[in-house]
Amino acid sequence: MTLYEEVGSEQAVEQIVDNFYDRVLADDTVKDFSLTQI
Amino acid sequence: MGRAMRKVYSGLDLQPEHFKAFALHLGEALAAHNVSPKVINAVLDCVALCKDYIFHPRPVEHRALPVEHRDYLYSLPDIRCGHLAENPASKASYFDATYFDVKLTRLGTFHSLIMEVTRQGQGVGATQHYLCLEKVKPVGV
Repeated sequence: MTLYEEVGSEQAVEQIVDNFYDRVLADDTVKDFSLTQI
Repeated sequence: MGRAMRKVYSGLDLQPEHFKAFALHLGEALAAHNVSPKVINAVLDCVALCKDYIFHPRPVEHRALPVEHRDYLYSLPDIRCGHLAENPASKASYFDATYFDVKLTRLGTFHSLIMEVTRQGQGVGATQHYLCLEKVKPVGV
């Protein structure tokens, strides 16, 4: 089983990533990195 | 797609404290969705591997996180970090290499959180792939 699978369903991963981005965007020290286009 | 991690981050002035903050937020996000501490630690171990490579580029030992299904990967790494080694039994030379490709940011019109580590060398037998976590979603959807 991959880590991706262990984390949960696609929906669960999507929610986790959204949660992660919410936290990053609320953090002044790193929010600019999350908006960088690469 | 597939640009190397160091190249991607080279223009961003990413510092270790920033990386630590990303890892902290990722761990908290996983915990908030009741992911087990064992899996969280495995994910963060993967992330720590990336940190070592970004700030101290050199061959590093992978931690086994084999991935069997590769069809959802859409980019290929273009960094190769390794060294020539010699098989003590056969005396044959081989290239012991580690490939990295990591994206932990917004990528064009997609959100993505991807880490890929590939190890190729003696004892592995063939190229193996390692994936931490991946999610791609169109922005605004």
